[in-house]
Amino acid sequence: MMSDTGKIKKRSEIIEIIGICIIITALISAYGIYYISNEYAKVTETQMNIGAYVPYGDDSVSVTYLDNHSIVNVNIAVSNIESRLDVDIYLIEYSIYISDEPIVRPDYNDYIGMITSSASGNDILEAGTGQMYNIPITFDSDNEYYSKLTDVTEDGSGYVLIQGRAHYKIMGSSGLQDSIMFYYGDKVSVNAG
Amino acid sequence: MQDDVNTGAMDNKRKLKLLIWSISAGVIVAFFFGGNFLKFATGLSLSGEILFISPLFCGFILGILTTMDELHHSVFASIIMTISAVSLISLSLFSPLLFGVAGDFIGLYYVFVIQNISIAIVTIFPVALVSTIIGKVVGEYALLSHIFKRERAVLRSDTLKWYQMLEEAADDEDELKPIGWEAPVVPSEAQGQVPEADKPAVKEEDGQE
Repeated sequence: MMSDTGKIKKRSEIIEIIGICIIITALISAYGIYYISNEYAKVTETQMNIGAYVPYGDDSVSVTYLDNHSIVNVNIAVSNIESRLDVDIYLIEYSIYISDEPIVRPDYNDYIGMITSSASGNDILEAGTGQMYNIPITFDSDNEYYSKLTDVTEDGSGYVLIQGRAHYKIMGSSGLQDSIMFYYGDKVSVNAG
Repeated sequence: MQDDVNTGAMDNKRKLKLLIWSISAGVIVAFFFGGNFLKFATGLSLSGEILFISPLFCGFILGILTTMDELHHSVFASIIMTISAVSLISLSLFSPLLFGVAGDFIGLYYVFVIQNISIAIVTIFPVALVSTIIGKVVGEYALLSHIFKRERAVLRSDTLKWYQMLEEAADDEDELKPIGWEAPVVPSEAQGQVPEADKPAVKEEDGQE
């Protein structure tokens, strides 16, 4: 037969054991909070630092005239340099505007087409790296914008505006999908076909 | 004197334990809330119900842990739990700034943070308070019922003993009264017999004024 003191002691011990359990659970949870915070910080860092742009240069946007069709080659650079997470650039899309005058903002009168394209084989862009994606848009001779493109760019004096968006998926536990916009506006260069 | 020092030390130890348990419960709640708020970034699949279940369960456990303490200690524990949980949730939400990986956030981000902190405060405190009190009551019934019964029986028997001792003392007092002793007569106002000495003195100057 247990005495009252013994019973009180036993029940106090039960409370102590529950207390120790809650402390151990809290320690595990504290690591969990650190993990959550760290992952969130990395994802935010990737979202804020990933960038897509069309580099300014002769070869960035060029028109190539071939038989019965023309190709506008667009090189898009995606930078994931200041990040600690890999990203999958799974889609790049852009609209292209062309005019004799420098284009300040997109205008329907200057619009000649758009393209939605998978990036080169769904490449994984590793953390700390960058990659150039060449996404051409083809204008057949029966295209309604073919003559406009030819007229404007034939003598190499045309201006182009590109407005696009690169869609990416952050690799790892989050699997977060997001996109970044890019703009380009400059003279278009002409390549010999 | 030594007993007072020992009691004070035990009291401080008990308070420290209570504080540690409350903060621990807050950390657990903060993990589930943070995981739910930031599941888009962490990939943890925590459902919305966890926002209700985690403070309920932790508060209940905290109530059991404060079984030996007073009720206001339980309330204090639930407040500490809420404060620690909300602090850690805030740290999680501001982690990109704290880790120094993000520069300037847009205003919409602060709306997201404030919104989630408000949800945390509004959800955690009432649920934790109620569940702590329920846990304390359940703990008292489950863990302390026999002790309370025993203490109550001891108190009852002590009180009866005191009554008996008082009655005996009164009887002894009656027996010790001297022969012919009478209790002093208190003049009653009903009969209108007020002694001269007790009458208020009326000054002549008062009448002149």
